[in-house]
Amino acid sequence: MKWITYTKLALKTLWSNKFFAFMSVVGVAVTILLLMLASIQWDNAISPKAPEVNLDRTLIVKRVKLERGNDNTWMSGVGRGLIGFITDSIKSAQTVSVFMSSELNITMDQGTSQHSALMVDPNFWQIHQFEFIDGRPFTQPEYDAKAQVVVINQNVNRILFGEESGVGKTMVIRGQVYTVIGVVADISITCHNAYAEAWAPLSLVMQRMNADYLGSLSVLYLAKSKADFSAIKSEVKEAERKINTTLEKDMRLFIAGPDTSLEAYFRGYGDPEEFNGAVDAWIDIIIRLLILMIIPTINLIALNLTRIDERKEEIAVRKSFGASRWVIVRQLLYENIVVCFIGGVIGLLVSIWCAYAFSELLFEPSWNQSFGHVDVHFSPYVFIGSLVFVFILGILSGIVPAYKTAKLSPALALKGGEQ
Amino acid sequence: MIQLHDVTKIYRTRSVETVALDSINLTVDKGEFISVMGPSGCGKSTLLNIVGLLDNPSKGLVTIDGKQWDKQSDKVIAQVRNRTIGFIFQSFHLINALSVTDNVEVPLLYRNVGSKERKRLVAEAIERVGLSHRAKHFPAELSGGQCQRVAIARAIVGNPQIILADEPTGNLDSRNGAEVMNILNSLNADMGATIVMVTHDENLAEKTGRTIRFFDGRQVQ
Repeated sequence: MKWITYTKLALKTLWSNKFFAFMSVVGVAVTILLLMLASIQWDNAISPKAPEVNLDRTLIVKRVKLERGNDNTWMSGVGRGLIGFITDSIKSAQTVSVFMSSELNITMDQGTSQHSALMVDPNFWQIHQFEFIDGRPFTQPEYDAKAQVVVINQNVNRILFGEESGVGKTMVIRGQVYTVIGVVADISITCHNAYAEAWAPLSLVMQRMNADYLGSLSVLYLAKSKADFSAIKSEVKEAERKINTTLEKDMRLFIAGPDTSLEAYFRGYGDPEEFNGAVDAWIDIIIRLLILMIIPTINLIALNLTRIDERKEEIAVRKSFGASRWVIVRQLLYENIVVCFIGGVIGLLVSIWCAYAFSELLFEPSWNQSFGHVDVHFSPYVFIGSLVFVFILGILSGIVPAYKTAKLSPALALKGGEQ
Repeated sequence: MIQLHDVTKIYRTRSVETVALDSINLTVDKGEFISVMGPSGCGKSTLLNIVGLLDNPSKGLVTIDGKQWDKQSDKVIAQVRNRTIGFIFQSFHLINALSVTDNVEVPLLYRNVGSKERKRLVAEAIERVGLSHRAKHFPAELSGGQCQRVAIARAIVGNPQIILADEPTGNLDSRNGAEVMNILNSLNADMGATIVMVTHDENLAEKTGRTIRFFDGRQVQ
């Protein structure tokens, strides 16, 4: 019950200096807002959600690097020449899928609209769990036969066919007539591996690709469990080693990954060899957290230190009536945590509003030409993580001022003297 | 109850050394009400701070209930202050952000007393100083005399054996001063509290059991 009294005292003390209260709460709220937005973005990129329900069991290779001598370096997506090496030979994976990003131009009376498309293989439908409103995905025989079939989302269906289902109807993509065989629910643009508005067989374009190591393909590996990740990674590295033995002496190939969703999110577009996987991802996260934490911590420390003078008399009274140094430290820390918590809750609420209000800015990948559907996913872990962050922030920003304040000599403080 | 043996307190700065108390020997018996008099700067408040364990002597020995406390840990000294001593200050030193009730409750927050019991003790203490009708008010809404009565309620809420009052009537008019003095006398008489009161007022000093006088840090009577 004493904590209720402490909380009441903390709120009263906070309210007694409204400027301090405002500065402290706003400082923390802005920090939590930034942290939450970064976390929501991050969480939406790496957490499993429909149709990427297996994201936590999925690895991906999106980039390769090819070097000739010391001067020539090329970096791009996976080329067709690599596919045989890094798909069939990966025995630890439950399923392997190859896909490629593309675009779909829909010509209508009003003009042309551009939509994201993916050229995929049949395994793609096993790795991701799409919700089919009507129809079905294409089959292996259709894929092998290079059937001109396409699965579209509800949005494209609405544009082309209105409220009727487009299944069984035809549409023109780049001058070719395709038959719509499935309509799926719109998926969020935050599903980085599965997002598109139309999905067609990769076999239709595969033969037209050069058999180079560099290209524009990506490879997904579905593991039976996370425990198989290291085996899959080892097999891909072994495949890379074998490929390198077949290359000319001055050439070297490097396959980036395969990456977990976390690694893929933090890999960026720099030299793939300089990215150290999960270690770099966590270093990146910790640096971002520290940067986010340093500014409000310094702000709160400064504000709390300026309040020492103001609260000297109160602390001296508390000590006179039996508060030990530790009790004063604990009480001031608790007050600071309460301030941080209030700021944190405001930051959390504003961040939820921002996540919806500014979803285009927050979630639209730079490569996407047209804005797609966004489902903002809120993980309880992000909320719990933010509250833990608030708690740590409260302790870090409160400990030095609290300790300094608790050291005040009550006799001198009551006389108005300095420590 | 309280014994000071050869207590000296020296305040040192880089260039100046000030002897605030010089070889003080004093015994205050249990249940005694004594007044400490002397001109400003003679060491009266320093004496209260040392007796109240708010400050340490530079030399000498202070015992309360036969025990020397100044060498103990901060936690132990804090416990003694909490359970044995109640302070009343000239300028009240109430916490402005807190109501009368919350101010009086402060000493009880630092001991194991349940919420209901705290409320009861606080209500009793406030009633004893005749301020029940002001329990929810804040210090800024009270007169000087009322503030000092709140400070007395805070000092007695934990039922301490010793009350140290540093010029408790110094900021009050004669009527309020007399009221405060009556409360202190009744605490001494009814509760058997040992009271050490610093005052400039000869009339008030006469109402206490014994008066000791200080001059330039030395006890002269």
